[in-house]
Amino acid sequence: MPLCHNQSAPVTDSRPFTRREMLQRAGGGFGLLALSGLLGTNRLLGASAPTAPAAFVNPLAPKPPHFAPKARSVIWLFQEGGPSAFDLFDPKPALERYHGKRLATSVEPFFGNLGPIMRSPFAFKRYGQSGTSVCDQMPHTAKVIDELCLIKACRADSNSHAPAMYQMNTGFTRPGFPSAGAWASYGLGSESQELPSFVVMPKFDGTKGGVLNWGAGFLPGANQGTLFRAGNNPILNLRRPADVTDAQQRRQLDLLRELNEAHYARNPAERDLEARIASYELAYNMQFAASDAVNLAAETAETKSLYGVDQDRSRDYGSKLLLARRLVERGVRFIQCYPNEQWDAHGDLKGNHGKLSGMTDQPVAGLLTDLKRRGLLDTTLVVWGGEFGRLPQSQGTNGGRDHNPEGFLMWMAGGGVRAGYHHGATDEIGHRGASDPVTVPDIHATILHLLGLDHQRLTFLHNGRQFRLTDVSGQVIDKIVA
Amino acid sequence: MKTLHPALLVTLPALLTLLSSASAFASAPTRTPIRESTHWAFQPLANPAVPAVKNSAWARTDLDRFILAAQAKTGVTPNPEADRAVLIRRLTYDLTGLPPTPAEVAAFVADRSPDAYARLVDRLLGSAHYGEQWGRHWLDLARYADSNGYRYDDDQPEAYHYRDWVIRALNADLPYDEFVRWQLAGNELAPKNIDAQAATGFCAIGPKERDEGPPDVRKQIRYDEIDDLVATTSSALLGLTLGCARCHDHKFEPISTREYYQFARIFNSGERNVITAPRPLTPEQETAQREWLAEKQAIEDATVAWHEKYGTPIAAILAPKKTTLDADLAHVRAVFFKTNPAATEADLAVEISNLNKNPIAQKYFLYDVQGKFAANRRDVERLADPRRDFNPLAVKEVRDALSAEATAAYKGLGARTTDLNRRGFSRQDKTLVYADTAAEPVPTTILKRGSITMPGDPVSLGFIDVLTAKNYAPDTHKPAAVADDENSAPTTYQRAALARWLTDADSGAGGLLARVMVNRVWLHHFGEGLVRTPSDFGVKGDTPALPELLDWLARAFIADGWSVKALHRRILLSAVYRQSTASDAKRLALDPENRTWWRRGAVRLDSENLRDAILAVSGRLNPQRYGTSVILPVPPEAIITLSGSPYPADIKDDAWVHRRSVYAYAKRTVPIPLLQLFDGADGSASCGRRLNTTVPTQALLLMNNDAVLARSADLAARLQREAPASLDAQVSRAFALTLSRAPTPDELARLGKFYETQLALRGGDARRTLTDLCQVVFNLNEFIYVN
Repeated sequence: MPLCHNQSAPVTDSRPFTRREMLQRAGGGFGLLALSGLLGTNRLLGASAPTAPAAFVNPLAPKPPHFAPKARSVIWLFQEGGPSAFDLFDPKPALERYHGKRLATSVEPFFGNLGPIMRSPFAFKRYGQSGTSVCDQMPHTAKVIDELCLIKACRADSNSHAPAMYQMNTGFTRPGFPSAGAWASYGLGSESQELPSFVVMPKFDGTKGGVLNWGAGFLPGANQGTLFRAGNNPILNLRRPADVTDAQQRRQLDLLRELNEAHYARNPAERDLEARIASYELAYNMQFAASDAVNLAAETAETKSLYGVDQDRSRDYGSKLLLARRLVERGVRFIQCYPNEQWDAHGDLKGNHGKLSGMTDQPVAGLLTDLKRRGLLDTTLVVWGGEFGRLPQSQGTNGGRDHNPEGFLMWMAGGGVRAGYHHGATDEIGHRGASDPVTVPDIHATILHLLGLDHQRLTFLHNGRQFRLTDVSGQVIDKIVA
Repeated sequence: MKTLHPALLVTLPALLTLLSSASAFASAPTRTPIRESTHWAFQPLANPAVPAVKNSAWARTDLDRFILAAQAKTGVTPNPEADRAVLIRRLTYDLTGLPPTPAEVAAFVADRSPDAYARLVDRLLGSAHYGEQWGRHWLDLARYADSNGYRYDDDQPEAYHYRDWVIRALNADLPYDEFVRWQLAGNELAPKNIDAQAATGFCAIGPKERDEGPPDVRKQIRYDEIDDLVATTSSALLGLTLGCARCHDHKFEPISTREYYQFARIFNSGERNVITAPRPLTPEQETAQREWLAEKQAIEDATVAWHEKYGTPIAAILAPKKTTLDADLAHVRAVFFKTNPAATEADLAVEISNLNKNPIAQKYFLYDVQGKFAANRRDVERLADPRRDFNPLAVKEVRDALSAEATAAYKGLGARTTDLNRRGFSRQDKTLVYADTAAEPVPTTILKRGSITMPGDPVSLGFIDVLTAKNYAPDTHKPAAVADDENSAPTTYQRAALARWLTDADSGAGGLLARVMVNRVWLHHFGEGLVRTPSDFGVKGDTPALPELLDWLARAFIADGWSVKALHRRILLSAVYRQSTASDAKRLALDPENRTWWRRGAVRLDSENLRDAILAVSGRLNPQRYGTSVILPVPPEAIITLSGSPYPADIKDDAWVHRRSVYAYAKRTVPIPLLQLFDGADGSASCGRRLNTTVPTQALLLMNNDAVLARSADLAARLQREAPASLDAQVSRAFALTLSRAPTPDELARLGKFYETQLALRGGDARRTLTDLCQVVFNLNEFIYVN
């Protein structure tokens, strides 16, 4: 998890907006007034939080989109390890036909020992009006299948986890670039003034590639993903020390702000100082808002059950997704949820994908159901997928599959995508894209588009160059936009 | 027909000027590389003349004249010298990573002699803390950690000798070329020197997955280890992203896959290893070792005494299962060899003999473990494993039978044991090294597209063509000092050849090696490098802001015998380093990125400096140097790892952990929250520059973390002790300690008002109120940013 830049150093602008820039972006003096009003609000806790002075500029204050957005928030269900398309949603009859036969064309496996073609260990049935095939491991997702828009021919650039994770998150296979969540946060700010704009609920023992998967890169640091844990202490050091009251801490922070502002006035060229002043107000408000947001006890037993929170296998992911919904309700812009295990089925695909399906199927279906009944699905884009997929061949002696970045499946739901639509197709055996292939930058461009951002206009000057999430490519996948 | 690169055309006249004059420098090396490149970083060092400039009154050294010449082009003028209190704070943090004491500040401010500043620089360069601060910078590049990372993240308890060597080498100003050579090939160049051996830890501390699994997996693990070595060596030392050539010829650089595998071949003959060799102890270490052994004995005695006192009911419970050692030898044998696969019959005999002398074993004779006490399999193994001391609290029936007093006393012994173990001296004579396994190189081929299943052509010993003179022959000779020693371990001397090539400024990569190091030193002194991509001097990297200055500094560095301290002096004595942070709109518009260094930018403390500074001003810093890495307390919820050797969750916040952060135990999967939040390096890969992020979770830590609060209380106590007269005196003392200045009347008034109202909220508790005030001071931007 290196917070470290060897490849491209952050040279300038590791800072939030200045007041002047804020005024320009927010449309003049009115913006500043509106902002100070926003900072004073505490929608969830009534009047307990004091009004922050107008001098503060929150780097995460809401900013207008480029055009009318379809989605307000994104929940990215990141399926780390690379789930297999044709074992879950996109069955390939040819695998049955060629089972046990060796493929003539050369394929480069990640780990070597590539075996013959292997049929799926799972049975499929068609569901819903869309008639989408779903494997027998995902009975709950099958019930909400018509909400899904399948993107069947995705393509990534790396066959190795960490670089592929980096690409799916940041657009670059090298570490150190801003994550999609950081770009969304940078472009739109957060509708919540008390919570981070970009929240990550990681795999409990860490994610391949580490924290750089949700870093802000050269964007202002306030946009980087903040780790949330389920439970009583979602963020480290969120709770005040036992012998410090709110009033006592508030007085400390007021003094701190006075002294820091006087120091900043003496050092106006140091713009980091301003960001650091703002970070204390955000931190103060987070103490209230985050504690309230993670209070899953406020949910009914029925809701918890809907997410599978009441079952061992799905408790962790169900809790994460339920928390994600609560964060969306509170205006958090971008949320990533990683299951506690990976779909990296080099051995025993049946066991691995069966287990991961059990961990995630009910939570995912529960999330879509719950968002819909609360009227949130229309404005919440749900993205599902890994950093790549898996090969049609077997690997090892126990029916595994190796990585396949050349043809894999992602799906989206809600947030302005065409429900029940299938976009693109891989070849007969599911190895490579055959029609309407989609690249990682295309996925990124589409997510930004649904959020009301033009991926070509969302740029940041760094190392003398205007960088964007999609670098030099990326096209919005128009056909999947409703 | 050949064309000259524009950069060469610019520097050529300067070069000729210098060649024709009596220069302090050696003549400019001229060489024709094996492969030509026009990229600036691959050219030999130029020998630029010091520019003639106006405003020579501002310039203190020749370095300043390069700066003034560059500023003349952008039209900016430089800042004057900063205040003396600012200068000593800047210098002290810069060279030692700690704040100056109020007495040091006062003495320097009062010292009006012309050489006061130069003497201050020399004092700080001579400080033992210098090596700790600059050693940390180097450890970032060396991706140092105390565990192996990846899935299992096994501990590497001997790694700290490498860290200690780095600190000592920098304090001793070991010439940088030797510093580099030893890290790559110390065991080949000076095998009898334990320091040279420890230096090869550079090659042995990278992340590595546990070596297990089918042959393909193990081969992959091996190649990933070697890839880390190639990538670390090339980026840390040469600023080249050689790792990109693992799978294909470099997309942007004139570097081929063959050159990558040439590097790989050099390391492919070696492996990480732990050698046993006596290591002399310092008097301090001898004392500490004596105390440690005494405490070990005391705990053992107390444990026996505990069993004497409380053991009767335990013996009664265990009596039905009491058995002779002989009767259960088969089981003991089976468990012993299972837990010690490499052990011999002789080892077992020693264990059994020890066991027969063990008073606790004698008391209970606990060898039949199939009985009812074993609550689970782990208990079975614990009881049957003759290496383990019997822990009565591990058996439920015994636990239930013990009095609260007995349990508490036993737990107290456990805590003493934990405390003892974390200070362990047992590794003192164990050194982690990287050593070849034979005299013949391990054959190595190109792997097509980096795949272990697609071997290509074999590679021979060689380096990087664009940096190597034509007809350069790799030098694998055995050093003279080693030649006659028949007992020296067989080795291929390939790493020695690499080390010689890397440090050969005439025919090898020495020029680039010097450029990269000079830029790193500049980066840490100024917060920004001449080249802003310090580990990427390649085609996609940054171009130097002042190329002549970079080469001039690099040549001076070599001419000074690669003395890093001389390089520091050359930079620190300049006027450009001593500038104030003043700024104005006009100059900002002319050079917004400060690429001509017309002002000093404020620099945030590195994560380690922040922690160390809080410890220092609170009076808690334990200055003990070197030795076993210190396990810092990490909250259990932040310990998310599946490591086979878990991170302990019960570490006390005591003097042992109040050591400088460079001695912190670095487990790759368990970052220390404070160090991580403030952008510390994580040891996953060579890190040439840290980010500087500002996030609310940093504020949460400094507001709410128990340790920060405890240090605030320590500072409050110190203020009451050292400035008992008045609150104003205490605030003044706090400012002197943390900010190296006196508070203004306005600040005194604000803090006084805060104290008054907070005192009311605190029910009149002066110490607690002062603690709140001290915590605010630790959160000040002025404390965390150095002007």
